[in-house]
Amino acid sequence: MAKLFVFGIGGTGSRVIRSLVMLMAAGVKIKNCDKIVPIIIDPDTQNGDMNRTVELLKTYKHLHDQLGKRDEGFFHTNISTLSSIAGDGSSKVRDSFVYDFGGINKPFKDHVGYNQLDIDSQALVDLLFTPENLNNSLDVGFRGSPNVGSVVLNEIIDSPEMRFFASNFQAGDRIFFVSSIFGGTGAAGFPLLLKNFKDSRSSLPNASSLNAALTGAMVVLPYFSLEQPAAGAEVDFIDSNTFTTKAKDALSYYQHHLQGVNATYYMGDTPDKPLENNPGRASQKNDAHLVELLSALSIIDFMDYSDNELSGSALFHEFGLREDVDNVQFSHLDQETRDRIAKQLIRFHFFSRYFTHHVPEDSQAAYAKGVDLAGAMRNEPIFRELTKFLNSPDFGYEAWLKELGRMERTFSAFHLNEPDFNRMVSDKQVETGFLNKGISQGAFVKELNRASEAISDREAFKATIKAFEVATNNLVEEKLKYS
Amino acid sequence: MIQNFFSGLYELFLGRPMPANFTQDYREVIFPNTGLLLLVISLALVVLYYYVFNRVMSTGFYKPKHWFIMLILNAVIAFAVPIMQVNGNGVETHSYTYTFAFVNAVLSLVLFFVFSLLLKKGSVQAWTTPMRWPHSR
Amino acid sequence: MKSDYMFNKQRTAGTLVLWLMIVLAGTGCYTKKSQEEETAPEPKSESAAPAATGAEATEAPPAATPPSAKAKVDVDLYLEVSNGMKGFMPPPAADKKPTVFQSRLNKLLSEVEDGIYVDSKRYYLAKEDGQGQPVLESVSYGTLKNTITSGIKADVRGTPLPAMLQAALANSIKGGAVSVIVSDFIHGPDPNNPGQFLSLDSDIRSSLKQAEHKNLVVAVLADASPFYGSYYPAVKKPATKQNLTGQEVPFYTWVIGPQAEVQTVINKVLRNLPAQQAYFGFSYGAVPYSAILKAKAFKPQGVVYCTSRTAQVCTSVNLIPEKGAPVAFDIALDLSQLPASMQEAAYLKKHLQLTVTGGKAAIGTVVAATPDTRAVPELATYTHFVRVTVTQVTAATGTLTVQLPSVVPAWIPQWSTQNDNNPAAAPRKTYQLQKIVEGLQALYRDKSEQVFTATIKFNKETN
Repeated sequence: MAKLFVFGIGGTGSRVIRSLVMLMAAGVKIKNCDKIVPIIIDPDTQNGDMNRTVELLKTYKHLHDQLGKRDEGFFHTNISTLSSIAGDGSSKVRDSFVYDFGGINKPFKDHVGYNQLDIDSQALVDLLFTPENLNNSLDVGFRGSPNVGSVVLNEIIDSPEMRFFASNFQAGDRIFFVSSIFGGTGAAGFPLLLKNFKDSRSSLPNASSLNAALTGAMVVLPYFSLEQPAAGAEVDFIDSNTFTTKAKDALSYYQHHLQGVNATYYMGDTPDKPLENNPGRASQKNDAHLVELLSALSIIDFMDYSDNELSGSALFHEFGLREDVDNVQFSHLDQETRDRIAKQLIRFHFFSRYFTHHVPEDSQAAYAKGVDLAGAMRNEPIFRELTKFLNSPDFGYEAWLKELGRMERTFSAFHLNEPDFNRMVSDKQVETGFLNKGISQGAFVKELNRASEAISDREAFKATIKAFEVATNNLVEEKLKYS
Repeated sequence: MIQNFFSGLYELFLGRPMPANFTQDYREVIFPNTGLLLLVISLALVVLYYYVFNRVMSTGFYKPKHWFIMLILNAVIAFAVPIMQVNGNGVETHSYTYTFAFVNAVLSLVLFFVFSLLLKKGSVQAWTTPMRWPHSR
Repeated sequence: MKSDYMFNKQRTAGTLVLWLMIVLAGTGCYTKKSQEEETAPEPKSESAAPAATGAEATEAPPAATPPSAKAKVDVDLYLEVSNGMKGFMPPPAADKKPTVFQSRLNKLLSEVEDGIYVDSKRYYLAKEDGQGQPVLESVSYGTLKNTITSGIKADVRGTPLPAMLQAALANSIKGGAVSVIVSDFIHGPDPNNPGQFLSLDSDIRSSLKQAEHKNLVVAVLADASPFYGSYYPAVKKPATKQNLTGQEVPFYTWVIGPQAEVQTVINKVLRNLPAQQAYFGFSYGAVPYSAILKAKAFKPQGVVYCTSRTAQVCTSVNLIPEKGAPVAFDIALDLSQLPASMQEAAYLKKHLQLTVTGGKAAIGTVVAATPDTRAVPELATYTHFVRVTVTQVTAATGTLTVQLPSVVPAWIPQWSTQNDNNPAAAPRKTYQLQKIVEGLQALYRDKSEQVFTATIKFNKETN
C-alpha cells in the first residue's frame, strides 16, 4: 500500500514531526497509507529539536516493531526510516530519520568558493549576502537566512539519499512538506525540493511518479519571537524581527511560483513571550508549542482526503480555534478535530499515567501476573523503550505535554498535576460518589484484568499494551463518557 | 458411603474417636457433617473469592494477601465447625475434639488450595492469585 | 434425632458438592463412579448398619408385660389351730407382751379386713376331724381375731400338712381367692405310716398339683415367734412334747394364688415382710436393661460404644479391650418388679452371674439407683447398674449375659433340721423344711431357672 513521505525541514519541521509522533503513539489514525517515512532535512546536525525528534522516532519504531502490524491502537502506525523501505537491505544510505547531506562544515564563503571568484562575482555575492552570512560555518544551519539555504540546499538534490528516496518512490505514494516560512532551512528548502520533485526534466529516478505524486504542505507562519541578544553580545543570532518580513516575502513568492501542491495548510499565531535566542546547535531546543501539535493535524487531514478529492484544484486550509483562549482544551477545538484526537489522547494519557504511577504496584494483579509483567519490566529492553517514550525528560510524552503547558497559549486538555484520573481531563470530569469511585486504581485494574482475559498474547509487552488499549477505551466510554 | 469416607479420612489422621463411647456419634454424624461442611464452606469461600469478589463484583481483593485472608478465614471456620458439631451433638469435649478441629483446619487449607487451583481460571480479576500456575493464559 | 435430621439434610447438599467436584474434575474415573452412584443411590454399606441396629433397638423394650400387681384381691385366710399352734397364741396377761406371731397376725388380719386392697375375704380355722381329715371351719373376723389374741381353747389335733394344703387350695380355687395359710408347718406324719417321712416332698407336691395346673404361684414367708407352752416336735424322740417358755419357733405364711394377686397380697397386704422369703413358680417378664455408655455417672472405660447411635436402649455394643485398657461399662437393669429381697444390691452382687461367649469378662460392682441417677432421664427407669469388665475378646462377635438364677434362699437349709425335738437347743428350725421346699420346687421344675436374663451382644471393634 501507499507510503507517505513527510519532509520535516528545519527546526520547525522536526518539532511538528515530534507532535505527529505523539499523535501516532496515541493511536490517531492516518488513512490512505500504511507507512510513514519521515525525512528530516536539517544541515544543523547538532540541532536539539531535531535530535530529540530523532530519538523519539527511534523509540517509537522500536515500540511499533515489537507490537507488529495492527490496524488500530497505540503505536499502530508504521513509521519507517528511508533506508528500511527498500526492504531488500540493498540501501547504501544510512539507516536514519535525518540527513545532513554531506558534511557541510565549512564557512559559506568557502562553500561557494568566494575567494576563487573574480572580483565581479565577489561583488555580486557581497550584494546578496551579508559578511556574517559569508563567514558563518554552515553546520549550524542557515540561521534564518533563506538566501543562504537556497544556495546550499540545491546541492542535496544530487545527494545519494535523495536519489535513493526517488528510486524507492512508487506511484500512489504521497509527499508532505512541513516547514516554517520564516526560518532559514525551511523557508529555503521547501520550495527548492518542491521545484525539483515537480520538475518534468528532473534527473531523479521515477521522475514521472514524483511529478504526479499528491503533495501537501504545511506552512508554519511565525508563531514565536526570539529574545534580542544583549548589547555587545556575540552577533551569532537569529533576528526574529525579520520573521514577519521574511514571511511576507515568501508568501508572495509562493503565490506566484509554487506549483504542484495539492493541498496547502497555513498556521500561525501572534508571537507571545520571546524564546531564548539560540541560533542553532544543540541549544536550539525549543519547548513544544500548541501550533506544532495543530500543525501535525494537517498531515492527518491531508491523508483523510482520497486521491480523487486531491486531484482536483488545489486546496488551501487555515486553522482556527472555536474561540481565542489562552488555555486550549479539547472543547475549544472544532468537532472534527476533536473527534480525531481527543479520545485517543485521553486514552494514551490515562495509559501513560497509569503505567508510570500504578503498574509497579499491580504486580499481583491478574493482568500483570498473567504475563509476569514485573519481571518483563525489569528484564525486557522494550519496556525501557516504552518508559523512555513516556517519561524521557528530553523527548518523552510527559515532557512534551509539560512543554505545551508552558507557553502563553497552552495546550491544557489535561490537568498535569492531577493524580486523580477522575479529574485529569479538563473538559470532562467523572462524577464520583460514595459507591462510585469513578476511575480509581481498582477500577483500572478491574478493566485491565477484564481486558487481559480476552488477550491471547503471551508476550508481556504486547499483552500489556493491548490490555491498556481496551481498558482505557472502556474507561473513557463507560466511566468518563467522553463524547 | 459418605459416612465411611469421612470417618476413614479423619480416623486416618486422628485414630479412633475418643472418648470411645461416642464413636458412633463421630462416625455417623460428626465426621460426615464436618466433612461435608468442610467441602461446602471451602468451596463456597473459594467461589466467593474468585467468582463473587473477583468476577461479579471486582472488589479489588485480588492480591495474594486477600486470598490468604480467605484461606485463614476458612481455616478458622474449619476449626470452629468440629467443636460446634461436637457440642451440638451432646458429645463430651475431649482433647481429641481439638485435635480433630486442628486436623480439619489443616484439611481446609489443602482443600481451599485445591479448589483455588481448580476454580481460579474462571476468575477475571484473580486467576493469577495466589499464583499463575498452572494456567498460562 | 435432631442431629440425624441435620445429617440427612446435609447429605443432599453433600451430593451436590460431590457432583460439582466430579464435574470440575471431569476425569473419566470420576464420572464412572458417579454413574454407579446413580444406579445405586443408597449404597448398602451405608444404610445396612444403622437399619440393623435400629431393628435391634426396637426389639429391646420388654416384650411380655409382666403380670402386674392387681389392684384388689379376694383373700382366704387360713389359720391352723392345732394344739401345736397354741404356744404362739398364749392367753393374754397383763405382764405379757403379745408374741411376734400374735402381733403379726393381728396386723395381717386387720389389713385383710379393713385394708383397701382386699375385696372379699373369708376366714378359716384349719383343723382335723375325728377321721383324720382336714376341716376348714369358716369363721367370722371376730372369732379369728379372738382366737389369735386369746389362744386356742379346744383340743385340736394337728392336721397332716399335705392334706391341709390340698384342702385349703381346693377351697380357695373354688372361690377364686388367694390362699393365705398360716401354720408352723410341723408335719407330724402318722406314726403308723412312717413312710410319710420319706415321701414328704412328693406328698407336698401332689397336694399342690392344683396350683401347678391352675398356674398359681407360691410365696413362702418365714418368721419366728416366742413360744409358750407345749411344743410338739415332729420327731417324737426322746420327748413327744416339750414345754417351751419363750423360745423361738418358726411359723410360716404361705400365699398361694395367681402371681399378680399373690404380689398384691405380699406387697400391699402383708407388708413388712420378714427377711426369710421364698418364691415358687413366679415368672418375671423380661427385665428392661440397657448398656449405659454415655451417662456421666457411669463412664465406660476402654474402647466400647453402642453399635447403634440412636438406640434408646442399647443391647449391642462394639468393643475391643486393649493392652492395659480393659473395657468396662455398666448394664442398667430395671428390677422393680422383682421381690424386694432380690432387689438388694448385696443379694444381686452375690447371685448375679455373667455368661460370656467369645471373650472373657467379669462382673464388677452392682449398685442400686440413687436419687442422682433417677434425675438423669436416660437412667431414671433403671433400678440397678451392673459393671461388667471385659478383659479379652476371642471372637468377632459374642454375648455378655447377666442373669439371676432362681436359687433356693439360703435361709431354707438353715431353718431346716432333721430333728426338731429340742427347739431350745436349736431354735428357729423346722423339721424337714428342705424337703417341703423340694416338693414345692418340683412343682415348678419346668419354670425358667433364671429370674431374669439380660444379654448384651458385642462386636469386636475392628477399625
